[in-house]
Amino acid sequence: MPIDPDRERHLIEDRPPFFRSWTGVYALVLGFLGFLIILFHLFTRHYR
Amino acid sequence: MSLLDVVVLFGTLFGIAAYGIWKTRGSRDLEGYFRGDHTMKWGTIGLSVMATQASAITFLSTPGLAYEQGMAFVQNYIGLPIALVIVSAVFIPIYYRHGVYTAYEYLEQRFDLKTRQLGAFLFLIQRGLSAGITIYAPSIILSTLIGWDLDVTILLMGAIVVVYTVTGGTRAVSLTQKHQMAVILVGMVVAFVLIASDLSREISLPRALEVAGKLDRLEVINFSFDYSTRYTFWSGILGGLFLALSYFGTDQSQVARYLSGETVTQSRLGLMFNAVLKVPMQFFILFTGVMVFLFYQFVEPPILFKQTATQVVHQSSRAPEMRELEARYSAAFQDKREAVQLLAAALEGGDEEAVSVARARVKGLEQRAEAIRSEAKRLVVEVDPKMEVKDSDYVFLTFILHHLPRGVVGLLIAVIFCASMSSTSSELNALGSTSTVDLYRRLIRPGASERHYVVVSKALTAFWGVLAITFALTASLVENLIEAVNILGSLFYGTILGIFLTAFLLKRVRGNAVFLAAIVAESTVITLYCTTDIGYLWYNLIGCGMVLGLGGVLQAVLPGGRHPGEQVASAAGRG
Repeated sequence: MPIDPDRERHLIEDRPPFFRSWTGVYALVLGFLGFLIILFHLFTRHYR
Repeated sequence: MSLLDVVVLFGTLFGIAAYGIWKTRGSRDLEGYFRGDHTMKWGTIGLSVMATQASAITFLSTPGLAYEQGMAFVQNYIGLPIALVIVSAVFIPIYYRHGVYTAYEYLEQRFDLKTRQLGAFLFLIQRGLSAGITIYAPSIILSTLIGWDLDVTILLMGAIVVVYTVTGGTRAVSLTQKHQMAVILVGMVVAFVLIASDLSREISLPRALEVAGKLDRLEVINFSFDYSTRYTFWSGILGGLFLALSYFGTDQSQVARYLSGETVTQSRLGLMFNAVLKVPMQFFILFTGVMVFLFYQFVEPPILFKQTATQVVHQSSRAPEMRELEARYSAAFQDKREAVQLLAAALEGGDEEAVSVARARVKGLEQRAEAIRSEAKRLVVEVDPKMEVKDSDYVFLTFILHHLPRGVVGLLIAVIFCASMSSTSSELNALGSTSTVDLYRRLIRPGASERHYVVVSKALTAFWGVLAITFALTASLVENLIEAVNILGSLFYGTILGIFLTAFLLKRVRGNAVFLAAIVAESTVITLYCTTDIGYLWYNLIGCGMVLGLGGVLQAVLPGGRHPGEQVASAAGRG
């Protein structure tokens, strides 16, 4: 499969702001989802 | 609509479209036309991805869904952030490495031409139909409520989108979407604040929420394992995950949005922006629908929100029957209003038994009012058998038109138009790029000049636009509109996603096996849809799982299906 060298460079230089790697960003996003689910569950229980 | 509303509406629509055309004039190659010369920052990508998904149907149908059934629909979006993380981590690097214009180009590099064509073909069918619905759905509702001619509304909305999408390509789509999304977000916040302010004249907001809870409108999460319940946590996190993974990872209307990023980082940040904001935004839209529900507990709604339906009866010989039903509905509403006030007072006093009695009374009166509405719907159908009487999609716009101040009405109708135009433009752009890159350039005329392909792309984008407008001009829908779009997507997305996941995960599976598996999976999903009542989100899981499972099995049993590496190893062993 052909791979574009210029694009490969983009991938190597890819760094998220404020985090060392994307794993940290993903953990934050999924943690926020977990927080929302708990919040929705409590919301549902409160108003049931 | 007042003159002020008309000025706000047309100023917003034409202003954004003209800005998009002016800023993006002069793309001369496919790189510029379909990938926007890779100039987009994460904010533009994020808003553009959000605007592509949030069609007008989202803003018309979703509040109506909350009004009728409560907030459980938000569970459909719970799998979405997980899907976006997977797309960001797995799909984006692969697309970037291979420098593709469309997602389906990658399938030929990984499998073969026929698998690429199958992926592109399934996308073109599914998205081609959806583009018609995205124009038709808001047009029918807007024309009914504002009193505009339906065909004029469809042509107005369709023509503006086609012009700026054809002239400016991907950059015009993304730039206009940024501004359209800004109008949408401002409009929805303004609507929410005004509803809350209107409602607070009748009841305090915390008390109103307790009433909504007692009337089953605030159940957000349902952990039930009943597969036929349409919205549960499990269908959302599994079915919704696969739907979102397929939509964001393989649907060209979304892939084109993030492939226009200046760098991989910008593309990924654009997706993470959506991963964080999409679920709260959907919650907010549903919550707005619940507020409208509460408002109509104190202010009498029309017997049918689709008022053209009642007008048909009023203009017939059976008008006295409708007047009698309206009088009965009005009486039932007054009783219900008193019962709701009693329920609020009981909640205030904290007396559980009084709350329980008051709730039962409100529920009983709600059923009485609903029975009268059903009688009215039957009467409408008897007078005009072709008239569609399902009216939940009309709830929010009815509220806007009758209870919000001048200027705001124009702004909120602009929200609906902007939402429709933003998602339609992405769809047309994706249909144009897929038919140019995957069909025309690959099969009909390879090796022509870039300028030639740009001209063909513009012609094909215009063709899909005209087709969508024609479909909208002749369409007739019966389901709740947002569900119609999701059902249509779920019928095809599972199979498409299965092909892509096979490409990424099952390295030994090749073209023939995945192609046959995809054909069998798609046939099975369509058969299940026609013969069972499984919740539609599960089709994503079934289609995808079948392609992955069958692909692996077929690779092992098909003649010549074993991996070349394995054959070499076997041969060596024999030697």
